[in-house]
Amino acid sequence: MNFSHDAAWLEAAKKRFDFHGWSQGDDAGQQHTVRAFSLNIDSDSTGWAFEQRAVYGDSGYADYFHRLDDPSARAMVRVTEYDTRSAAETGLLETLSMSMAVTLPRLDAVRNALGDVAFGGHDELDQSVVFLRANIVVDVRSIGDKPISILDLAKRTDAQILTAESNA
Amino acid sequence: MLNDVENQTDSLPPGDPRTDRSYVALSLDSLSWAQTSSAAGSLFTGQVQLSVDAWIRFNGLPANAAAISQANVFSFGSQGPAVYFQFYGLPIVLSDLTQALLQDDHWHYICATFDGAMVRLYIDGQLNTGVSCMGQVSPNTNPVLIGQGVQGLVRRVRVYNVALPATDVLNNMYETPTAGTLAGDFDFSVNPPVDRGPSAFPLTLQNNAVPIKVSPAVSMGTTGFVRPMGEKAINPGGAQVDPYSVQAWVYLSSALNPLQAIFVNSDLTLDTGIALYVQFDPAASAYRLVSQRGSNGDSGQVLISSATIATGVWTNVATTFDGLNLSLYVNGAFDSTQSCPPIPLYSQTSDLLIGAAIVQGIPSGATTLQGFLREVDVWSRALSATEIVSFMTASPDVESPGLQAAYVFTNSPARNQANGHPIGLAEGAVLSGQLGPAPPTTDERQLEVAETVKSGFDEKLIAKIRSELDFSELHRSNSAAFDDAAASDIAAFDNPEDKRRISEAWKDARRKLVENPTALSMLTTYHKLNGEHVLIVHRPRGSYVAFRADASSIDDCTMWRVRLVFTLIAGTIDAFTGVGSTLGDKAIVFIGRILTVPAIAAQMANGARMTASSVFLFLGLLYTQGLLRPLILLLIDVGFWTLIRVVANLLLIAAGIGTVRIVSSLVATAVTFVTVYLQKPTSCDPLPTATLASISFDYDPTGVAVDALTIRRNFGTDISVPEWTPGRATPSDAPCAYAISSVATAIPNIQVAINIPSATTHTVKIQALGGGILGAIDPITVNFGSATSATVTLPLSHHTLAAGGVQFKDVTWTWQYQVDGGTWTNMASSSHRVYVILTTPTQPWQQGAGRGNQQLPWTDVLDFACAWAASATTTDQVASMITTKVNSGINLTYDLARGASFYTGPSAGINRFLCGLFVDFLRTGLGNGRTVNCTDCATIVTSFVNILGCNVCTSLMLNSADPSTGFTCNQILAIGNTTWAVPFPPPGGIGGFSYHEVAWTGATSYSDPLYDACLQYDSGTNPWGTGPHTAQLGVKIPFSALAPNPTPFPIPTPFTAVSYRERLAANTTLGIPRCIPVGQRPSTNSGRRPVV
Repeated sequence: MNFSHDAAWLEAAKKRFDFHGWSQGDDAGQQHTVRAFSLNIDSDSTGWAFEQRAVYGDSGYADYFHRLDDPSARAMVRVTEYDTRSAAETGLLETLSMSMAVTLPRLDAVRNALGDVAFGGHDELDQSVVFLRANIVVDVRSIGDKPISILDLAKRTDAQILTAESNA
Repeated sequence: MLNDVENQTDSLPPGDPRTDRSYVALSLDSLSWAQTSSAAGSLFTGQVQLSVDAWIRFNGLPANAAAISQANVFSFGSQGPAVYFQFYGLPIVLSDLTQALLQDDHWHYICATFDGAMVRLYIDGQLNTGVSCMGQVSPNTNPVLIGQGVQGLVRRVRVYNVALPATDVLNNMYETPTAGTLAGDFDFSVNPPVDRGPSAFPLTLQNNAVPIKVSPAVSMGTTGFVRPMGEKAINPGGAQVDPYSVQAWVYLSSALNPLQAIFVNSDLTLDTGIALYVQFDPAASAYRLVSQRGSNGDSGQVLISSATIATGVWTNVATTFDGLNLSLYVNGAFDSTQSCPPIPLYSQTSDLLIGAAIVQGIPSGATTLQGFLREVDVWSRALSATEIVSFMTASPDVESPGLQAAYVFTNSPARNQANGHPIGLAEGAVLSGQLGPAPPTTDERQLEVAETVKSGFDEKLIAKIRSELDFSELHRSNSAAFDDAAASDIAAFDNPEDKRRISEAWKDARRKLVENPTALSMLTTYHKLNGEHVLIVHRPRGSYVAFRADASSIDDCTMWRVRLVFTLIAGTIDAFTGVGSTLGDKAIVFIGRILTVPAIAAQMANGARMTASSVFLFLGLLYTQGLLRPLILLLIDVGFWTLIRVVANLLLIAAGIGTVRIVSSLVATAVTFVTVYLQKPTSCDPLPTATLASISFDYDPTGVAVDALTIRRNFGTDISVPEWTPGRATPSDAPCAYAISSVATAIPNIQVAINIPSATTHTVKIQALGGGILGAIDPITVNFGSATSATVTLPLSHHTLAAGGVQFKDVTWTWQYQVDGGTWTNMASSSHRVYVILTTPTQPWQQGAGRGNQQLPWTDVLDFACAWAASATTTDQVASMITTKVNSGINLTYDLARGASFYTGPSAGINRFLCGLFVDFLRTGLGNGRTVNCTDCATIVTSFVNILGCNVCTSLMLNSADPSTGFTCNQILAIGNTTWAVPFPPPGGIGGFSYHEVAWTGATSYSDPLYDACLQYDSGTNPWGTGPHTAQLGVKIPFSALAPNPTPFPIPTPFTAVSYRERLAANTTLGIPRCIPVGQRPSTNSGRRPVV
């Protein structure tokens, strides 16, 4: 196998993360695409204080938050918007391929209704989630000195994408 | 919005007409005029003294136009570009066209005086010509006409019952004439116009004569636009998430174009930049304000106002972006907001346009603003709602934090008032002003009269000081200095007549100084009275206190320096406009800043040798530095109409050439300056006569010279060359970097620029003491030739850069100069951060691709890399020290949840190192946090060692037969962990890695040493067991000393080989045989991820 091309990595990632078993949505190809989605987490109701927004990749951004009651508990939400659902699936595969763990637990169908396709980590705290919703890939991670569950933040993000999708 | 009318607007209620900077004047076409009583012409007999003046603006200079006239009695006006005066039946007196010309679309103050024998004509306060005129004119009953034949504007026409002397003509330009001298004062700055003279003659407007309101502004015409020049750094939206604000005053006059641009940065169709424009909404039959980020297609973000923008009125519009939310404001009221993702594309430099949008790379006439713009302010931060209101009604100071640009179109020439950069008007854009009907004048405060300066000071004491002025002794004891200055001014002109004129001006000014100081046009004296600094300005018409403050608030020396600058500027303002100046606290602070500008400090060093030519040069320097206009605004306290006339006049002079007329007008100012200079306090250090202007380390962009490496601060900030200029006080402000491999065999050079105040025949040497590892600079003679600045290349002959291995040091040079072998005098101290690396940095870092290249070595990285590898002299040492630091010295920890990368990410098809975020983590503990995986560790090590001159890359090991399976591992110590464990153990994981990435040397194959900061392995004889373990970090260890498929297998213990793979991977068929080197990951720049 030639590892000098991305295709080999994507093929390996498809096998590692059971790509063929991914949900294709309710009506593959008919889903709405979301454009210029901008996450907006209200600190008063969520307890997450917004720090800053940074550019991530070609069509994404990373928002940084910390808990209002504990600034050492921080989180990062990477939102990457693709032109199509198919491109977003490839984007999710690329993200997953950078994981040194061979496999990751699925979250969408197992424990939580999150995204069309979602993966968590091997920890008990839910410090890390990456999911796909429509044409958007979201990667949420705990990045503070104090580890913290980011599941709530991920769900709020997913809910906002769903709202944007329904309005599209 | 800029703070040029602050003093006026602060005291006015919202909605006051003067807050929009408009003024009223009488609009005339060639067939209209104003008419008054024949009695207003009763003085024009040719037998009695009189004067007549007018403020007038022509829109097309006619062959003959009369500012004021009476048929068969007299006429005063213009003939083409000349001013004329004529008594009926006597010869016409025409102005000298070689001295001054009337210009279209410019306000001119014209004046004629008659003393019974001679008519003198003045243009803009300056005497133009004088011609004998003898005869008699019979009065008649024809009405006196004002503005007949004029196509343009008339603001004021006055008739005097005296022949005004030259000083009064200049004074009356802007200030109130002496009581009792006026016979008629026809004021068209109010609606309806009125005669404010003693007879209150009636005024009627004939035909199309009508009072109008003029709002100074730029008109784009049909297809014009405004292009800021030299403003590449003003780049709102360029960094995709950078905060900004744009606030503008706009007047839409037509709905011709559906989209009318106000301010754009980049092409509307590109995925970069921002724009603010109005767009027609057919549903509302009106325009709405639009703020755009990125393109106007699907990938961009557009916020449309709920409010509409009316045509035919001035509207204040603004947009702000705080990094997350884009907002709109209309007339100071918050309108709408939306959250926005980043602009898709980064743009390092701006592409600004005002009044039209860029479409497909060029300004588009189809988007030209059909109307006017008064001012556009650009900020590098999001203004608050309160600030939006504040800066709508009271302009921001040019020093306001975050104010990047204030494009002001209320006077000519238009400039960015925040930095002095010029603005280009193109394709028909003109500073014409917006004209509209004048509202009736109801508030007397709108009448512009010069304020009387009130200091609260004892007027008797001022009168006493005035009466006791005596500079005769000062002049006698310093006559040589005055002689030199005069001779220098005279020598500057070639024409004998010019020389004579300058000589006469000096003689006249010196005579007045000795015999009658108050006859000088302006003189300043300083007094310390009752614990106060008191600065008094003396003019022929009287004296006033220009400044008073508690003596303890400003030291004597500072006060003296402030006086020097004040004397120059106030004297110039007085010389050309007759307007008096005062000092305030803000002016003092501003002057203090001016004095730090090296070129200006050098001019001030003229001292007692100050000439009128030098005064003019000083003006020009202030102008080119963008300092003249704000300084004038701080020194004069007048109404807006007067203000813009004064500013425009002075800027025009400063931007022009020093004609004999201008230089001779400045002689008195030079004389006054010298008198102030000679009163230098004993506490004051002498002004330097040589100044260090700059130091350049990386002065040769071609790389031919032996100079410093080309470096930058970080991704978004480059390091300009020269690296050091005055004001860069800390070492990190003026950094440099050298490779030991380069400086060990050749002496590197630097370049320094030295300024002197005037050309000299004396020998000037410079040297630098100290310098740490850069070493002292030996004395060297600076050859200035006939110039006042010189750049010299200096060898670092005493450097010890190569002696300490990798390092960074903060060093300081004490720079000195020496004149003619005299004593060495300090002229500056410069501090520098010096980075020393092994050899030229390797990928991802680059050299020689232009200073804008973001892959140049970052000092943000060198700050850490040089410290982590301090004293290293070999690449092995560097790689080992940095690997060790990354593994156990900066608090990183492994991502046990996913093994995901936190500091790499894709962009434009390339996987990159999020280096800026990692530096942020190192500095603040924030960034993307302390969690990492192997890719992060390998990338950090690679980037940090390669910047020091090593050459490693990130490279992979995995199961090449089926990369989806991974390989199982032994118990290891993952970075940041203290417990030996297999990674991702069952049942969730396989007890190993899907892949592993390390910093690798050579061909990244079996025998090539690698560096792995991500984990420690067991270096004992049984690395596959469960303990006890002997921890060892993988530094300079070959991937494997065994064959790809070792035999026997499993490998027997004791295992003693120095071999990485066998100590990482399990000794089973799922481990070691599946751990195969496969080279660099694709799309990683061959394992050297570009930095962002």
